[in-house]
Amino acid sequence: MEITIRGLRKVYPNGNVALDGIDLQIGRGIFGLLGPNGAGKSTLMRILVTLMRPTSGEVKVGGMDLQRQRGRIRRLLGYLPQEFAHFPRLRTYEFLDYMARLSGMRSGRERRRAIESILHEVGLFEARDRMASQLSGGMKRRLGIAQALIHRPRILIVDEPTTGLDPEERIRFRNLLADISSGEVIVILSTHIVGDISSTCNQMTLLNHGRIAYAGPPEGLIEKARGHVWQITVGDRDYVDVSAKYPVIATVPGRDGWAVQLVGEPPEGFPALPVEPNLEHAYVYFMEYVLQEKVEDALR
Amino acid sequence: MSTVARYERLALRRSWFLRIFILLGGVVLFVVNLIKLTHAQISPSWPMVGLPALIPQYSLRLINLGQSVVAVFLAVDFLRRDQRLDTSEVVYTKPVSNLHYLLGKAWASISLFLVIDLFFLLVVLVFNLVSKEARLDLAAYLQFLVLLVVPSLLFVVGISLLVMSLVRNQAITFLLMLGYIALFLFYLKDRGDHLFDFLAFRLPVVKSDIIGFDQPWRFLYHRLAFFLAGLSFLFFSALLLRRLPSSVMERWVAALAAVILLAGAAGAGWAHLRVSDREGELRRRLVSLNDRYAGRPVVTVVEHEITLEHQDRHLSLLSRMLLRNDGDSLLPVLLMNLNPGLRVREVTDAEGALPWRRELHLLHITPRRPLRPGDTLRLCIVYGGTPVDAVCYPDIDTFRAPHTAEEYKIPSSFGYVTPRYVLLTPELLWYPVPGTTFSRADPSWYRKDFVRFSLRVKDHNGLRPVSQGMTEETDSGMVFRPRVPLPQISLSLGDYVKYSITVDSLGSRKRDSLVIRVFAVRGHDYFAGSFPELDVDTVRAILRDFILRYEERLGLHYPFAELSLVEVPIQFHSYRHLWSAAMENGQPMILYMAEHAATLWEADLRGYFELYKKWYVNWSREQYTDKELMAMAFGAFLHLFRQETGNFDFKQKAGGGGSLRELPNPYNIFPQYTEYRLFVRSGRWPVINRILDAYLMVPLVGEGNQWVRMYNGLSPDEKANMRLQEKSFHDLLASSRPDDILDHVISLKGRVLFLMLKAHMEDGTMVDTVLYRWLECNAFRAVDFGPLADTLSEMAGFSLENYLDEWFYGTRLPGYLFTGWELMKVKQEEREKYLLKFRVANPEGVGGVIEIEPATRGHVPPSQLLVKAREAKEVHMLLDKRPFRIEVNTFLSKNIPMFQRINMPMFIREGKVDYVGTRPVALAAFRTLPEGTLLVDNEDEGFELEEPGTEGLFYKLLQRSKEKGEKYAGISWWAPISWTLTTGDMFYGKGYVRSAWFVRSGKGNRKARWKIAVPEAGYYTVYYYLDRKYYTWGRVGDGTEYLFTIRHGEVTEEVSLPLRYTKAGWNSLGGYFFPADTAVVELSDKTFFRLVVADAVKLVK
Repeated sequence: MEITIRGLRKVYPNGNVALDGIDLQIGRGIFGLLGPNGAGKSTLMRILVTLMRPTSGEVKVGGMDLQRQRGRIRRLLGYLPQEFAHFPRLRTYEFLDYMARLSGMRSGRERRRAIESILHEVGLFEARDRMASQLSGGMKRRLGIAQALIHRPRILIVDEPTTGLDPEERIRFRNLLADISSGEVIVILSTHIVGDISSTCNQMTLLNHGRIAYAGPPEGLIEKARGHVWQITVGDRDYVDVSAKYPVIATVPGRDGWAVQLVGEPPEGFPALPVEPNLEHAYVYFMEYVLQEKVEDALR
Repeated sequence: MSTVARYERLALRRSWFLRIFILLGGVVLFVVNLIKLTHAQISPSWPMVGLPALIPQYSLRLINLGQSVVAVFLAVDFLRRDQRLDTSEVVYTKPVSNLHYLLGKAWASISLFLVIDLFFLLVVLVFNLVSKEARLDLAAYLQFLVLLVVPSLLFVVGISLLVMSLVRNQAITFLLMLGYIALFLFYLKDRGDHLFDFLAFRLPVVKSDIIGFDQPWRFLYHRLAFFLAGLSFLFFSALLLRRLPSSVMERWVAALAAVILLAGAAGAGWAHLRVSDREGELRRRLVSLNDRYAGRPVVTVVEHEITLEHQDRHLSLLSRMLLRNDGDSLLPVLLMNLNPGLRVREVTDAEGALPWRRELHLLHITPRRPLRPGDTLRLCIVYGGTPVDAVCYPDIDTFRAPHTAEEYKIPSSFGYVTPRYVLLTPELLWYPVPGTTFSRADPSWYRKDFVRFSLRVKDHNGLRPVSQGMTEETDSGMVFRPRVPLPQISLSLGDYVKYSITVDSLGSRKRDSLVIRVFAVRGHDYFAGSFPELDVDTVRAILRDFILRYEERLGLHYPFAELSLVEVPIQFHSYRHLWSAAMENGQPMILYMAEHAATLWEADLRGYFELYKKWYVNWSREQYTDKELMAMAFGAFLHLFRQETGNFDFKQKAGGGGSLRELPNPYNIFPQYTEYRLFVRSGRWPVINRILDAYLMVPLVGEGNQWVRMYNGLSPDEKANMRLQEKSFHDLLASSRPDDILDHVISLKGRVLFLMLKAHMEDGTMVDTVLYRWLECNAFRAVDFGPLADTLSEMAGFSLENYLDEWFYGTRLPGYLFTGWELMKVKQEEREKYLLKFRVANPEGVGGVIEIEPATRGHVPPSQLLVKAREAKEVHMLLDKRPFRIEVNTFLSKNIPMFQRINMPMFIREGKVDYVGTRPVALAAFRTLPEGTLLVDNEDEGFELEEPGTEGLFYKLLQRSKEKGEKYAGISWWAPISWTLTTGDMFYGKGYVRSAWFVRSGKGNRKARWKIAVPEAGYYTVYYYLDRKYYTWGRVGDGTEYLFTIRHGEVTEEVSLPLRYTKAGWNSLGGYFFPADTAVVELSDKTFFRLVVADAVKLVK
């Protein structure tokens, strides 16, 4: 099963070009989608989950055209949207049962087994009788994940899945994704948390202004940043100059001042130690120096 | 779809909004059914006791209305939530089609409401079962749920979703939908044949216990239209759902389904409208044919033997008739009328088949030889089919208007041929009758023959036939043979149970006893054994007493040996034609009563009993036994049969007030004594039979309901007088639609005709003596008016024929002026008597008759007084007893009010009798005021009214125009917000009309102004005319006063008139000096009293 995207464009009625000719091939495994706000990630996700029609281009899922065989493709999908906080007046297990039935699970026994299993997997078994609207934020997120997975979809598309989860839950979720992706499942993960991509994705795409800035394994992006990540130690006064001139990834206070990690060329006037780049470094380097885009402070 | 519905329903069930609705709905139904079905208010609702299907129907109507509002809210809410929340996105990515999704959501609401409705119905059912009086019709619960609720719910959910899909704003959608509901509830109502009434709130649908639903297409098309429209809107909403469809085919399917369903809805709606259109076309054709052929000479039916076979919805009939040509011209073609639903198969005489042709309801038969005057012919007609009741009442456009029982609207129909029941009355034209039916072109179409009927009935459905006459069971069916010739015959077939009672000792008459039978449908015998307080002998005695008293007042005896009360379906309704006092509910020897007497609260004897008991125990010192109370209740029921009018038709007017119409009483037994014993023919004055009936009814009806007059501002008789001044009697009959006013025109004309005769005779009672004797001698036949007219003319020395021409074709009316009322105590032959003096003048060009009735302790018969054209006279009447009031009836005249009361003073002087009788006086004196008196009445030129120029929009909307043609309105507690003209004998009138303007009290921005020309300067006392009678419309405390402004010369003075201390008539506002100029007296609307009356003002030097 593969998702093939050719020349995908989406122009909104107000003239905003959200996607500008996307070509992608997504195979089995976990595919990460990264990019700043307004890059077109959500638009791409919504097109893939059949919530939105593209302006032009083609998307094929397992050889099926997304526009013509929407119904069949929907049977393969599991989707977790970014906002998933408001539920009808249903209990947790009722909600899952509803979603399972809508997904095509006709057998009551099969559904019961699936619900029990997924509740255990996401850690909601104890809360199965609670009204879905009465769950905590993290529990609601887990419920969202559960409903996306209950019918064992062939394609799982998750948007910011670990938002609101504590570290333990986050690790659990990554493990869950890894388990899922070991089968013949395509997982598309859109996130701001670079760590989610680095720890789970075998392929990724970096979107910027509706175009693909990078597509490939995360290691490829990281490689681009090799030799461009430095650590220097600065005093208070210099810190301000340095942070104004260079994209600072991390700042750790030390005895001798601030240990600052930054990307780009080695800063003048400071002894700089090369740092083994990670995906976060690579992202910032790529955005700032390759694409010449100012990376939002929020990313740091 | 079922998945979506299941879980959406589950979520909805947990909604607090819905829970509140269930709770409130349950409470409302509990309270409503507690009131309607228990003795919480004396007794259960009588129509509900009579018609068990009304019980669930009533509650479902309420439920339907309430839940429509809730359904609107819930339906739009789900779309709103879908738009706003991301949770819906996870559903949108599921493999469910838009159609299934939307239909699932809609079905969730609808099915949930249906379940809730079943719960509500359970509440109703409990009351139904617990109630001792109410019977149970379980099927009706489900039938009305399907009929009323399902289409309404589907429609309201569908249209709400569609509007929300288009408007995409919950608040606006909600407002639009509520607006639509309010629009049809309060404004559109039943317009367009209830086409906007998706709730069937006003749609007349009723399930009879006898025949179930009658003519179901009248409502089934309507419900189907809304059902299909609702479905169609759901499909359209699916198309507009903001979600990419699962497939292209899905959109096409939804679009196609939506269009087909909408077309189906339109078709059903069109079929619904066509029902009345088709009927209208049939009736127009019918009347048009009647107009073409009316007035042609026709045969008389001497004998008519009918054989009828009933099977399911089909009748097979055979009529053997003996016909005679009683006219003076040759009859080459015999014209008859017969219901067009009954097809003629064959017409034969003794020698064989005769040629015939049919034109809708008309049957033209060509005899072998033209029928000469005096010739007879024996004819046989074979026909059959199912009669259509659209031929009934062609003179009444609104014949299909529903009739009512309390607040329930009952569809009107006029005949039935069903497997379980048959009702055939002459209005249905179920057997051939000579001539045409109703025609506007020639009123002589109306005629009746007294026929020797016999009726043989064979029924294949095991039903019992009921008709007139003696009965005989034969192998070929039940045979009915009336003992006397009758003008018509009727038949009902049903699962009847017979009860009878014989009332004897009815005094000196041809028959000393009367058999009263009741034919009640099995299971409807609530009256048998339910009143242990009354034994048979007591019932007999009460009946005897009723009959004797009625006949004593009427002056006639019941002409038949029996009277049957026969139960008919609730849908059966009758109207009174202009030309007849009878209604279809009253047939010779038979009264057709609505099933279980459900429309007659008088028949709720137990309820009346409880009411009387409560009254007398709580409010009266008099103590009655249960037997006496029940006898009173039974007496109240019997009173129903002697009333000329029954219910009232009330119409609310915007801005205050309303109009009230008295409806004729279909159970009035009067026609049994007159219409069915004699028919009076007159080619020249075709309505003479009705006129005679109207006159004979006078001893029974009295002067009518005065409070009706007060409510309307004019009595029906006064309205009749006003019409007669515009059109002649003949033209009114020819051109007008029947209404209660025309009834009064006829009644008034009849009364005056005979009063004229009486007024010309010294002993007016001779008219009645001759008339009644003539009636007794001419029973059971049709006679010409000519001989009677000649006899009466000779007796009165007055040409009735000449008078009748003016009476029938003229538009002039007399007008009477009265003055000089005085009562004196006199002595005659050593006995104390009273001399009443007054003056009366008739300045008009045509004479008339008035009636003077002194009201004393003990009855004094009224005296008729003839007042010729341009005559004035002084009248002296000698009375044995002192009257406290004189009642004057001016009948056919320009006077308004027609009926006046003149109160006699408490203190009277002693005098002498100079003469008794009348003496002429000068006519001129009546029109002049005493010297030194200047008077301006509200009808004069010097009177004007002032109102604020512009009212707020709210008030403008309230102020709809008065009823077309109505100059006057009724004075009532609910006073109007702008000046309104009314009449009454409590007001002053210089001429024939005693009127005044009135308005609700306000802040002083409305005024009435009298401008009086003062020719000679001097001191004058200002008087204002005021009568205390209308103080019933408000409280009069010490501070209650009217405020006047009097302008005399340069000076303006404010004067108040304390209402508590006024006297009836002229009240002084003080003396002032007026220059030779125009004096102005102004009355403000600023007062604590409820209303302000502007009548007349005078200045006396």
